[in-house]
Amino acid sequence: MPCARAPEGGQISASQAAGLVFAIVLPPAVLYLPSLHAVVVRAGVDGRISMLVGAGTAMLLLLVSWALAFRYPGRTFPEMLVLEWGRLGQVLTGLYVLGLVIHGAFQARAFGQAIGLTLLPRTPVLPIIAFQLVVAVWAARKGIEAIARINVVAAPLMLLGLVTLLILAWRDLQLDRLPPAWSAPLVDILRGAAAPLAWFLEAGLLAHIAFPYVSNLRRVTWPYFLCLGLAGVLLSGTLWISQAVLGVHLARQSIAVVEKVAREVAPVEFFSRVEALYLAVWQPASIVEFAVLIYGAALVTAQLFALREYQSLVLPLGLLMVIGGAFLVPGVADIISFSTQVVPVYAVLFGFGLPLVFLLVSLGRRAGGRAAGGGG
Amino acid sequence: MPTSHHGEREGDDTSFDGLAEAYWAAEAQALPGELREASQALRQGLERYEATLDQAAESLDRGQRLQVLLSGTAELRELPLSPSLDQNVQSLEALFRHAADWVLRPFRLAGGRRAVVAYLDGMVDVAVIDDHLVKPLMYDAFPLRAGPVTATVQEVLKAHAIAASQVREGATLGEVVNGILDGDALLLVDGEGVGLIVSQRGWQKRALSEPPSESTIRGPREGFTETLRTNTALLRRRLRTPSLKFEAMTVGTLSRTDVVIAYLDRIATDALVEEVRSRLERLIIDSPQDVQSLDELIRDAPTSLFPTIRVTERPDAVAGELLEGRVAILAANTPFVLVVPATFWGHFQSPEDYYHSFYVASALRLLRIVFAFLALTLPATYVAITTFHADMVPTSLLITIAAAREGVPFPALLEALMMEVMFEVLREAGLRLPRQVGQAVSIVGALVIGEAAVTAGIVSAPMVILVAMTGIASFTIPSYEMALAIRLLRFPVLLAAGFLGLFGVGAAIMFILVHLADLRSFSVPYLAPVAPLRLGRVASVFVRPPFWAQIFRPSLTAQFNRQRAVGGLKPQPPQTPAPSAGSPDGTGPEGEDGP
Amino acid sequence: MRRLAPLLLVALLAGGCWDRTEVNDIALVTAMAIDVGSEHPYRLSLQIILPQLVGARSPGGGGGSSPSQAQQVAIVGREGRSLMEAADSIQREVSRWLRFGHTSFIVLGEELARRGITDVIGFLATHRGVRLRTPVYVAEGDGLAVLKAQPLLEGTPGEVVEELGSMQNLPRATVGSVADELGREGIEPVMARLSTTPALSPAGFDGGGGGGGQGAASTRLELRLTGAGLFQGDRLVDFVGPQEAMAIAWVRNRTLESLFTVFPPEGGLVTFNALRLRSRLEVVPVDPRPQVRIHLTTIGELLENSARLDLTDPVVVNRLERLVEATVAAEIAHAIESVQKRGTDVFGFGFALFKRDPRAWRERWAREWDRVFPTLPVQVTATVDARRIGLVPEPVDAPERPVRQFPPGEEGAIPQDPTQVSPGGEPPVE
Repeated sequence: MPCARAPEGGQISASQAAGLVFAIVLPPAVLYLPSLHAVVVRAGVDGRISMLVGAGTAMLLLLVSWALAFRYPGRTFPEMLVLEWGRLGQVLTGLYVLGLVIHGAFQARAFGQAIGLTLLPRTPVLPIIAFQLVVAVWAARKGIEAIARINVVAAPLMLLGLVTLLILAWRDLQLDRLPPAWSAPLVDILRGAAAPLAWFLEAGLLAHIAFPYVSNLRRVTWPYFLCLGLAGVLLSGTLWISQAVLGVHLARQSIAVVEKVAREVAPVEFFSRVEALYLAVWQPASIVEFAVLIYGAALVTAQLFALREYQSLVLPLGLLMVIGGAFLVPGVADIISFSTQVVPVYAVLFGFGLPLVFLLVSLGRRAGGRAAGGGG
Repeated sequence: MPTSHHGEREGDDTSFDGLAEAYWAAEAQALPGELREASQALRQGLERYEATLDQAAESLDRGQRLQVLLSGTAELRELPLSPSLDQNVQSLEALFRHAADWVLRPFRLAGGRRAVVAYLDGMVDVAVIDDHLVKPLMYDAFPLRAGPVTATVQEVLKAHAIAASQVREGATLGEVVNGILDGDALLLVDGEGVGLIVSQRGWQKRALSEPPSESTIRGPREGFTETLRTNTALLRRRLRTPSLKFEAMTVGTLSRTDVVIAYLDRIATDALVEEVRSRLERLIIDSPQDVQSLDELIRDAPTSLFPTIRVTERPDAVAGELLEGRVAILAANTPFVLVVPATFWGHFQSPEDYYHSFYVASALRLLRIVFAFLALTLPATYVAITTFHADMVPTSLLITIAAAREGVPFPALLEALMMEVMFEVLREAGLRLPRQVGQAVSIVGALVIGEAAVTAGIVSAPMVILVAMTGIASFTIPSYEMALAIRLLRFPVLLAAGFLGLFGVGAAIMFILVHLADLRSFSVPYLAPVAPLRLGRVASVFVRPPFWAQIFRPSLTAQFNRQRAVGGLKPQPPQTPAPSAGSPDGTGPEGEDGP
Repeated sequence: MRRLAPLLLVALLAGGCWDRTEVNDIALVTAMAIDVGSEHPYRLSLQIILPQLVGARSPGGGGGSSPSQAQQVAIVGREGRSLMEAADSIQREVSRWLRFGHTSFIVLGEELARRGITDVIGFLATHRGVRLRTPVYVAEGDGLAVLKAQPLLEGTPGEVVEELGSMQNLPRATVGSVADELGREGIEPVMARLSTTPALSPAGFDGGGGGGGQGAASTRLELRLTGAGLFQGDRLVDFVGPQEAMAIAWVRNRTLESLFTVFPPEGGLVTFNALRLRSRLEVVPVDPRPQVRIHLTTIGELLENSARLDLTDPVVVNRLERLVEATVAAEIAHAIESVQKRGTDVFGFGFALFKRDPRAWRERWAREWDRVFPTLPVQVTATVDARRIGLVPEPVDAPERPVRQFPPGEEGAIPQDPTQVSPGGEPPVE
């Protein structure tokens, strides 16, 4: 089956691929609704432990996808599915794409709602989503190489913005009003880890569709997992500091925890109330995330239908996400329930379950040698 | 007749005397009859050419017309010269009919043979031609004694008589006509089917002066001029190495502009040079009026606003670029030189950086980049913050702005747009004003208009300040093309801000970033070395490393021969030897001077 | 596809901008007062600043005196069944969009505070426009009266309150902190108290435009920020004075400079200016009553030495430090006891207990804390570090009247109960 390839044989370096981790994991946790609320409402101040649990578990689960990428170098995961499992693989790939599109639609709505809630209350969500996704679609059209290059600007902005916020919150920290650690029951801590698990498993998308285009695959392991770990620690710290600034109860009630912290942090009178600035700084990473989602969906669809190039699919898929996000999602409550109940399941299924089954089957068949030797 | 005695030896067939004999013999010979028939060929060729021109003018198909013209011209070019002087002169007169600067001077060589000197007035240095070409042939008796020799008159003249260093032969009509058009003088001798083209160009040209568009405080004040040869000499003076190569070509069917590709051999990659060469060679146009047309015709992203080719007027800048492995394109009739490949960050570097200390240069470079960003986003940010995110402004400042905006009839977005457009209009108008009036009008105009507008309540004072700051920020960008791009782009960003606040600004900037991320300039990524990230080189984008730290050439453009200096050149104080046993204050037994 | 893009963009943008509000279409609310209404449960009063009158700088008009402070703000108030209703009815009457982001303080009327503030704080904490950092005060009397005050020194009451708040040693309450304390177990909210007093304005001050400058000086209301209001649950129960307020602030670890005066037994007094104050709270869950241990630390300087002690002598300084420690501990303990009598745990003893032993708190103490709190034994210790001694350590009129020295080994007596020491006393005469 002829496989669609990124333009110019687009190759990205290992560190670029690892840098994409930040853009994929951090925006849903920090920027979109319901962000850290999903963790805080269950685990309270121990959400920081939940976060680490979720991140660690996800990193373990991602080992499967990572192993698969090494076993079939140069092939995306859906390609592997179709190659090995034929018709069944095609059906599964179709489900994969569908999942990506729905996920993208909900993410788009979550993003639009977050921006709308904080910055543009009266604006309908459609222009916000449309603006954002137009840029993402254009970036996706240009290929993973261009996305990785944009990420060189976007990921540091995201990191710097977040770290700056956390540092500037120093004066507003009231650590003495936090309950001690492990004050929540273990069950709640584990339930709070569900959403982080989903966020971090989204980085599996990188392993599925981006690793085939990494020029030196051997060197991607350490940076990839290091970035995942860093993101986990950073988010855990964010949770902790957010609750120190807001107080546990208020954090539990806010659906946009980090934005609320951004609203409140004011080290100097002159530089206060600047949450719009933080959001504007975090936005590029969100564009990169959407670009990767759209690119992944388009690439996989093109590979599914054996098309020559995937660029023409980018706009329709992006449009689907926009329309889905703007019109098909009823409201904020649905976003919250979707992202806490549906997405973790889907993420574990497609980010771990399916690759695991595939890996076991292929190990059983000893099919690895054949595919590793063959090429496109 | 004066004699000369170089190389005299008895019985040598190629001796001077032998040549002289043969020469006089040949000169005195009458033209045989068959030569007259051969000369018809030339006339017929010319007639065919004229017919082709007429046919092309009448034909309706544009492409066909061009093809016919090109083939006709090519054919003309291949027509051999006739041995008959009259035929040749006739053909030349036909071609240069209605050329008021055409000069044709028939004379006789010292031995009596008829000859002709032809040139275009204003292009040649007439005094030198007269002195070194016409006079020796007319006056000086050339060779004296006879001897068998097989050289033709032409060869003899070329080898011994014409005291000029740039002489070449032209055997076809095309060569001699091109030679004349290039500004050389043509010597035709009766009975020879070959003309001698002597290069003594002497047209009026501008003296070297400081480049007006890129003046520096501390650097050399020579800029390129409109003469290609002067420009190549300026480069040659700075890079006195045989590695500096100039490849010449002509571009333009009607203008035949000389274009030179300059590069340092084995420092610029062959692929790059080949790419430049091939992109220039494929051009079939009437005339490249300036390098701008070349720029648009050979660049990578023809529809992008951003310049992917650097244009400069300074030889020192070009020399520096060549040393980093880039390729320069020089063209006649323009002092501007193209340098490829160019990255985004290269447009924020000014040659001035290399003439100040690296602290100053780095600070200024950072300032430029920051202010370029501000030039793009300042009006947009102001509009976004005051209309969407008024909470962000400290209360007292907000009250001040609100007080200043009382009574202004326009919404902030419209006000900003109006003022920015006004500023661009003023700037453009300022370019056309005569110099004496220009300064006063622009300053007074800006002040008066701004003040009056604020007093009348049409715009608010903060907006005037903002627009002025934006304008000043855009002036800090060294590259004119980049400044233009940023100036233009601030309008869409402003519009986006007016509709969606800071989110719109962010999305608009990301738009631009997406475009830049995919841009390439001759296969070098436009945003390199920031994206894709090359940590070793990123620092040199934003600061100017001290010269003792510049050991390697940038890897993007130079692939071999990357080391350009040795390490350890940083000036260090000399190590003092261990103090000798004795008094600690240095007055040891070696007899050092006292305090 | 490429041709669609500009169309899409135009369609997007031509839809209009929904959130754009010109800066002149905004009415900045600089202060809020929430009271009990006469007809409806809530009365909301807003203080709105009028930009065109503040420091009018338009070159054409307005020469002459800037208008008096009273005219720079306008006060609008409406009643409603809920705060949102009240705010909405105000919005409908004001020609500009109300923006709450710049509110400098919120004051709750006494009646409202006694009735219960959960709904109010809930509204304020979740309303998008109000910042969690906005300070909250409780008024003695009507909140509206506070807004109507015309302070002398600053332009608006908001600024005055801000400045006063930053100078005084009072528990600082913000919307966020009150919301947090309402929800947190083992701690009760407390807010600083605002009150208004009539003050005479100097004759002719309200001059400038309009109306007769009356011959007699007119009265205006001046703001005072002293003491604090204690809450139990969400109801105001009592006001306390500055001493107790300072103690509360210190135990909660949010306090500023403070002055303590000690009276050495030799007579005279020494003033200690505490610059940095910290406290450490420890509650030991012991049946039948948990023990509270508070350790206060402070670093400061010794000033005003009318006791004629030689402050350059480390022995003397040491002795004074001990004296200050005892004094401080006693004063604070006294204040804490006074608050304990009010019966509401604004210090957070319960929360400290919770932090130490969550299970014990939940099982044993949470339900009956209100009963137990007044009976808790509180042990206060202090550590004082007098690092600086001012510029003139010796009395000014030396050497005629000599400075007291202690013979080596004898450090003087430290009174056990500093409140027993009577002030005054003469320096020794040689």
